[in-house]
Amino acid sequence: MFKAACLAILLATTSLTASPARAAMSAVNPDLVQNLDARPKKVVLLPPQIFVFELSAGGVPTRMADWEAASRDNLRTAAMRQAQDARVFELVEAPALDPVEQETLDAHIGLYDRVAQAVFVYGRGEQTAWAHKKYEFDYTLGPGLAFLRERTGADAALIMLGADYISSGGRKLAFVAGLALGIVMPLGQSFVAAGIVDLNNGDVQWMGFDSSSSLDTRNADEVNGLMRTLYRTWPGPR
Amino acid sequence: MNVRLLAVFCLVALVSACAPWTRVAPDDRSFEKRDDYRLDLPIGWVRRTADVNDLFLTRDGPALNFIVATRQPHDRKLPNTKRGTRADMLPFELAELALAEWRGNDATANLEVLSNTPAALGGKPAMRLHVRYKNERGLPIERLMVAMVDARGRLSLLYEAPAIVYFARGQSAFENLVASLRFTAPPP
Amino acid sequence: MSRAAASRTLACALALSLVLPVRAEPVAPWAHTVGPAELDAPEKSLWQEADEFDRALLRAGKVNADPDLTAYLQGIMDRLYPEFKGRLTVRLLNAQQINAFALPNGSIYVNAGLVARFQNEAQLATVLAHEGAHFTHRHSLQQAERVRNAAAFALVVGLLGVPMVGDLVALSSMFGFSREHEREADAVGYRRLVAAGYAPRESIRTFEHLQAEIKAADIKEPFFFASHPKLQERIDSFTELSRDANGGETGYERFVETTAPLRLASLDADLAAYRYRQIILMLTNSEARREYPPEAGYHLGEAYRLRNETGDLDLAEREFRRTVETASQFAPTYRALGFLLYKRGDKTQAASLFRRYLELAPDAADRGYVEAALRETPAP
Repeated sequence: MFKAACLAILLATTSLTASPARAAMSAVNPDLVQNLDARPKKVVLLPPQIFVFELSAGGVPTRMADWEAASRDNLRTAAMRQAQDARVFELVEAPALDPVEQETLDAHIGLYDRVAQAVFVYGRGEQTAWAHKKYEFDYTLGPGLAFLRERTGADAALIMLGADYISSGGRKLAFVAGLALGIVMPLGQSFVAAGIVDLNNGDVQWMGFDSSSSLDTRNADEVNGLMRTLYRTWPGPR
Repeated sequence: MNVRLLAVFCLVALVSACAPWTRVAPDDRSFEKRDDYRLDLPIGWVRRTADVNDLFLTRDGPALNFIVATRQPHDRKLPNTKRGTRADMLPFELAELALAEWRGNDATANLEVLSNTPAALGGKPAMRLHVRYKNERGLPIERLMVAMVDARGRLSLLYEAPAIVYFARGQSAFENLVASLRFTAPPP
Repeated sequence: MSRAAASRTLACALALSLVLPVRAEPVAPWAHTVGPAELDAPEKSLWQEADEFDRALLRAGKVNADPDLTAYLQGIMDRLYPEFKGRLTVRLLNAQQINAFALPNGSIYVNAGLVARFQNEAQLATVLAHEGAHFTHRHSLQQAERVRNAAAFALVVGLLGVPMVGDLVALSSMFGFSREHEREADAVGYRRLVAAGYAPRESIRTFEHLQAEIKAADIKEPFFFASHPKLQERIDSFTELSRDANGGETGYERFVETTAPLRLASLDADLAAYRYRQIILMLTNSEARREYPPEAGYHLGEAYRLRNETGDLDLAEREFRRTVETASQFAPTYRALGFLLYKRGDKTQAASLFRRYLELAPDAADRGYVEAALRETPAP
């Protein structure tokens, strides 16, 4: 009974949201909102990680390495360009890392993956029992990435993770799948999460999420539009 | 989490009318499994209202930390070793079985034992097992279990969180929960 | 359905669905080492995924870094495929399942549990030659098989808690190649085995020996060698190939000496994972037992204890007592015998064994349990 009722509500809800319009969601650390002068001025862009799949007619995903390379490039370029256009912060490229630094970074990106999932599902305080997280927003990666601050002079890092399911023949299909972020994505076929993390203490300052049934991350213009939308949720005046 | 639980979790994540979670309040923190045991829950953590386990709690979201309490009869076979437990198992044998069970799961097959020591749970002899493993992204994750056997079956309290920041963050809440356990029924 | 069963079912379904129709045009085997720059797009994509898979295995701590063992395995592969030196790269995995597999980029993985079960170098070479042939003959490309890396796999099935490198490994081996490709790998591998001077008849014994073990231990793992028809196919295939063959070297001494640490470690790992049937099978075989040091009696005793069938505790006690005589400085035996007697109620004898254990292993990780038991025993 419980499951049937929830399913009915879900179907009603998702039929309303099943439009091609982009839905950008965000979560902002209240400490940042209360002290906008402390917003990072210089941010290092960590290499975006996006997993791109082709969906067969039967709905089976196959990972596409070449498409991923294109999507990664688009995300990187768009992040840089839109940051400049929107005058949100100075965005610099990540430096080359030695194996120890890379391993540390990989572990922290692994943590970020889980933090992003938790923020998206719980940290935005949209469920009654989780309402407190919006204000007790203590999501963090810890100080382990401080070496990036030393290497680049940046105050914070921009981390981007995503998944894009592209149906063969260009026809979009409804697909429910797991993501890098470990959540179920109803109907939407691309999901991107961008987050700003303070490099001193690892605290998450902001996360922007995009879920779309029309976005193709291989398309540079579309990804530009995506980043423009995400940056609009970055708090404070430009 | 299994598919069934996840389906329910995701449905209600979108629908605030359903209430799968409840926050532990200062005036409502006692949990009791009838005729078995009682625990004090950590204030501010969030409890899943329906779970296959006796208790499922998290502070920041299950991917970042969780506590699980589970009571199972001895003849319920563990999924990987296909073994049950016995009331006469010594704590080290229970720890040995838990390790074999975890090693039988490929995600935790290469776990590192950080400590494996005797403990007490509700005044009864128990084991305390602390391990670490890495996931496919290279993220180290720590797992801490306190468990015992008695005539009723096996009882385990488990805490798991990423080793970076989160394990330390919730550990004292788990230790306090373990220390608070009291058996409420006389032995059968 | 349990979580593990559900995840395996989904994983198998996904893997099967990944196998696309066989290409119409034949694909020429590599005649020499090539680099990624020389590949066309589909094969390059496969190699890139395989490279990521290599990295994922390393990150997850699955690769055994012992330099001597790694060099030994690589030396055998280079002997079998000299013109592919530098491309065919062998790595040992810290996994006890009986499995080995090849990736499209020339990475060959062999599980420690498989190596520990071979009887000589020629048997190990048989498997390496077979796996090498999957690479040289580009079987992955021919089936357009997509090998996913662990992260990608996690994307799809991570919700089920199955970002399991081990499961992925199993899939790429079991479902990756067709019967035709397996037979081709047998034939190509066999020729390499003979050309390298190994005893061809060992190729049959490799799989007969594994088949006997798997049957007796009632192993039901979905891995390459465990699937009964596949194993029987290998035996039949090599029987046909080696019908008139003789001679060649087995490399027995070199193999036993180099892999000795692996075999004891493998026993430890089997015990830790409750694979007691395999231990009993191995160590009650007098021919296999001679490849193990006297300490292995402890492992056999523990295996009996874990199996715990009628009479097993007596068998365990017998093995422990024998090992105390033949390997008197090996501490774990004292602990094991001590707990066996402790549970039986003979706490006085148990106490003296516990004390001896702590003398021999003062830093033992399980010291706490032994001391707790000692507190329940009479003072000396």
